[in-house]
Amino acid sequence: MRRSLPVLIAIVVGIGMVFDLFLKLPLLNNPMAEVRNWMPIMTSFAVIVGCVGLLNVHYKNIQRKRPGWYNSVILWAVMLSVIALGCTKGTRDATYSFIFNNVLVASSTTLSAVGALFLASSGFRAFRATNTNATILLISGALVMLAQVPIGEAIYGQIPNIGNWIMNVPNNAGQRGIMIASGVGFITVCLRIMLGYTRSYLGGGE
Amino acid sequence: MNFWEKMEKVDVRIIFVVVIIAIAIPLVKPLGLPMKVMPMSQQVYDYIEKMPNGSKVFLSFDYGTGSIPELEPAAKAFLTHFFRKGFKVYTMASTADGGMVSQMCMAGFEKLGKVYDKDFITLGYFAGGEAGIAAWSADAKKVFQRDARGTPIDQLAMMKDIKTVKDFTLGVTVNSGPGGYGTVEAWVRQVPIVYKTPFIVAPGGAMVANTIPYIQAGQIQGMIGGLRPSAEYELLLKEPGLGVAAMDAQSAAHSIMIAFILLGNAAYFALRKRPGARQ
Repeated sequence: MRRSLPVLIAIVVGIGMVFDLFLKLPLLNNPMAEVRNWMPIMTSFAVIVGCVGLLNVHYKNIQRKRPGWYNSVILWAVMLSVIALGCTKGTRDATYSFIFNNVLVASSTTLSAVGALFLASSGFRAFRATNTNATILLISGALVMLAQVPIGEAIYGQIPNIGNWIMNVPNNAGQRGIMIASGVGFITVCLRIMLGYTRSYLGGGE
Repeated sequence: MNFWEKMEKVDVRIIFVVVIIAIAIPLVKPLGLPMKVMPMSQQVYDYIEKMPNGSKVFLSFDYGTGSIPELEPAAKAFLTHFFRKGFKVYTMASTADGGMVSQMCMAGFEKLGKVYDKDFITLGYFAGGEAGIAAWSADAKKVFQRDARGTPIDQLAMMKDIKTVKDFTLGVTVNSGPGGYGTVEAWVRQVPIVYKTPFIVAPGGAMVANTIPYIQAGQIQGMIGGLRPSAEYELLLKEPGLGVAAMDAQSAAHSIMIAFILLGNAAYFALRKRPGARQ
């Protein structure tokens, strides 16, 4: 019963969702619309579970004085104070906006920008023309990179057109193949779940 | 140790410093390189330009704070065009911090005189990724029962005639890519394919390659992918902004990366024949 009931629910909801797209039957459409509305609610609860889990992990770090435990204290203090501020004063509050703009936005954009440094370093060390395929990849990559910036046009006026051709013809052909193949694979996985052959989502093996 | 051996063993910190200097110089002293508008940006601009004044459009801020430098120019360029055309703009976000990003962005337009619930509304964050998009598309008022300012959705004048996503003339996602939320693929699967609502996407540069097939298949109306098309869009609007300003720095960054790749390969070929070299 512990396994067969969830499988039965998955089969009924899965098949119902598929037919909901093709059939205009209020008897089917209305309950399926309701089930769709549950998803944002369930995901919202998952955010709460995630927050509690994160606080719990860091509480243990503090309790056992693990290396870097003081970082966990900062996390606790910042997380709880921002949550409290957001819940009591709302996200349009000046202090909340100040923290968002000057801590979260500043730190996350900095972290994203640091990626450029590692890209340059890894490109220098690893992007080598060791064989024909790697050489084609290197040349096409360099052309697409130059096509994305005005300096490409300044070097040679046709570079943006060449970059566009690489993206629209060979890239598109490859992407379509990958998308169609993964789409067929996705349908297969969905069918296996809906027919009850794949049960790994319940935990454990098949 | 000869020059190429030194090059191959160069300290990573030297590379970092060279990249930082190369990017910083054009930010301090812009090069002002000319840039032509590519057909895709023109296609998107023309499509929006031909839409009737007063159309209802929604724009989803599907990116987090880390993607603001790359994607905010696109979001702002779209919004500038929408408001210039007198469109009614509905914003939302499928990422948790996207809700705040949308509010920050719209606050700028509010300062320029755009009126809440007359010109635009911010619906805020919706959870659930693709399932959330499907639920919102089918019943817009069920997913957002209040807007981001806490007003009940039925009290908003702009939401009166909105039932499903079919009530919009155009949808736009400004999207940073995969991450379990409303990705480009999720929007395409749930909105233009199911409801035939015209759709335009503005993905980050890394997502452009995956998105092109949707345009050529006619499933979406166009794409402003990455920083350069955003800059082109600003030029079409005759309102250069963040995108155009960042182009010189990006030119420097791409050039220096290509220079490092060429240098790395030169060192590789120069040292290839030495005993024990990596082939």
